[in-house]
Amino acid sequence: MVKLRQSVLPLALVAVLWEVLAHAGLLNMSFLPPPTKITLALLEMGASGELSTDLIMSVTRALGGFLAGTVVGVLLGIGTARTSLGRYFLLPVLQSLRSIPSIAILPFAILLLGLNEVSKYFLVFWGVFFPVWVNSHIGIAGVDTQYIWAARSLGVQGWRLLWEVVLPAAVPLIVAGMRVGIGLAFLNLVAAEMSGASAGLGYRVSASHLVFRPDKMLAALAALSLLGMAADAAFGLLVKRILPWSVDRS
Amino acid sequence: MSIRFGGIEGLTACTRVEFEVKPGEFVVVLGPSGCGKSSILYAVAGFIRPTEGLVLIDGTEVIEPSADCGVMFQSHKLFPWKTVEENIAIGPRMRGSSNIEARRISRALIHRVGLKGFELAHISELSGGMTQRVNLARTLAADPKVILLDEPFASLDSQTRIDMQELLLSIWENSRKTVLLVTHDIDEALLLADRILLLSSRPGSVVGRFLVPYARPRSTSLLSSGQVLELKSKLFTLLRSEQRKTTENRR
Ligand SMILES: Nc1ncnc2c1ncn2[C@@H]1O[C@H](COP(=O)(O)OP(=O)(O)OP(=O)(O)O)[C@@H](O)[C@H]1O
Ligand SMILES: [Mg+2]
Repeated sequence: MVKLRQSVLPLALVAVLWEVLAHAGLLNMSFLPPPTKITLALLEMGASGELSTDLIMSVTRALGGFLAGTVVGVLLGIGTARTSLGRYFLLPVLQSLRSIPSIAILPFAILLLGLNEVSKYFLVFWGVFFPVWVNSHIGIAGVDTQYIWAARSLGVQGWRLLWEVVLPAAVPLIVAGMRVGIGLAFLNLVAAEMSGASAGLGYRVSASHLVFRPDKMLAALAALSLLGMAADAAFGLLVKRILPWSVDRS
Repeated sequence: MSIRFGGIEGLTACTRVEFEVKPGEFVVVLGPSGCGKSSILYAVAGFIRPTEGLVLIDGTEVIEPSADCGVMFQSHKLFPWKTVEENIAIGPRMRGSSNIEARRISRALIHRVGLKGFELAHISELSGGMTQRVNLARTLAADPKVILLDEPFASLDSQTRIDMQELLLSIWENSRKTVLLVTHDIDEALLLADRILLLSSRPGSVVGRFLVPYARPRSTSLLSSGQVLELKSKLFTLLRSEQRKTTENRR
């Protein structure tokens, strides 16, 4: 991942160039407002409380769906990797569901769950679940047999074997799956918010389109970009802190 | 027992291997590379089942891994997600010790193997010699009936290996646990063993049984004394000829 600090200078240069081109009349300002205008729009949205409402809505949905997707993904990963019911029944079902591009499920989710919060959480969950599940499955099924042997000859059994040995050994892969999941969470979140919501950054993007406010639209996009980068960075830091061995190896 | 991998047409790792280890005895299985040493050890530990025959510990058949058999693998298999102290405390915890008690046992063993100050270190921070010290401590901490060691020092440089052999010797001579160690190193076998079982090239079978009569406590100076020469050259000739068969089979 590109370090946040390293992206400041190139971004500033692009902004300056954009600004200059806009004022030189080389860009159509009403379609492509310059960074100053976008900043003003952002400030306006901040002052009216719109921005914080959008942010809070989006973050809550993304986080809720992400946590649910992670928990269910890891649990079913354990199921498909370590139980025969999971391997012979659940695995093929999940594999065929995984082949559906997750956004394509959106209309069906709305049909089934309604145009409400539930369907939004569900869509985020759906995007996060698959990469986490797949990686958990691979990680758990691929745990070095000698780790398990070593643990069992120390008397480790049952749930403890899972909790103290199998899961920690699979953590590097699970974490990688969660990282992919973060990206998909935002993708599905925005898709859900654009297809019917009353707040949220994705909603703001499409609403600004309807009222023809490209400055606000770009402001919302910038906020999404920042949010995505912040989420990834925060995740990286968290993992380094609480699961250090998963970083050592990768 | 005999061990075959991959069905009837498969590969026979060892055939008709039969031996007994008495309580408190240190037995070394010496054999050329690839002769099935690890497979035999894994069967004793209950990791794999012999294709024919069986393993008994105190008269009970071994059918799955358990805390009765402590195993030290050639590559350490310590858990990188636990600290040195936590790795060693696993055995005592599983036996039902309280966390405080397990930690006390763990610290005492860390001291015993010479790693004081590394209690909270992570496994990735340790050198090869240090990981094998932790590995030994972790195995001892579980207080198994039988300790199985699979070429535990083969990956260490010669100086570190000697240190570790002397450490193992002094620990064993104080505790007199039942030990089964496999190796292809004659010196290691002579230094540590009460008895040596010599294995043929693959499929491994026992082709020689030797008592190692030297007085204990021993130290590595034993190996440069005259008394080992006769047994050493005998083992060398036999192992050499088995090793040669291995090489010829491969061609
Ligand atoms: N799980 C397995 N499946 C198939 N073949 C195996 C398996 N484990 C071991 N073998 C084969 O059995 C034979 C004996 O292997 P084993 O590891 O027991 O020998 P070893 O004496 O320990 O060798 P080394 O000196 O290299 O450690 C080898 O030819 C090996 O390829
Ligand atoms: Mg081996």
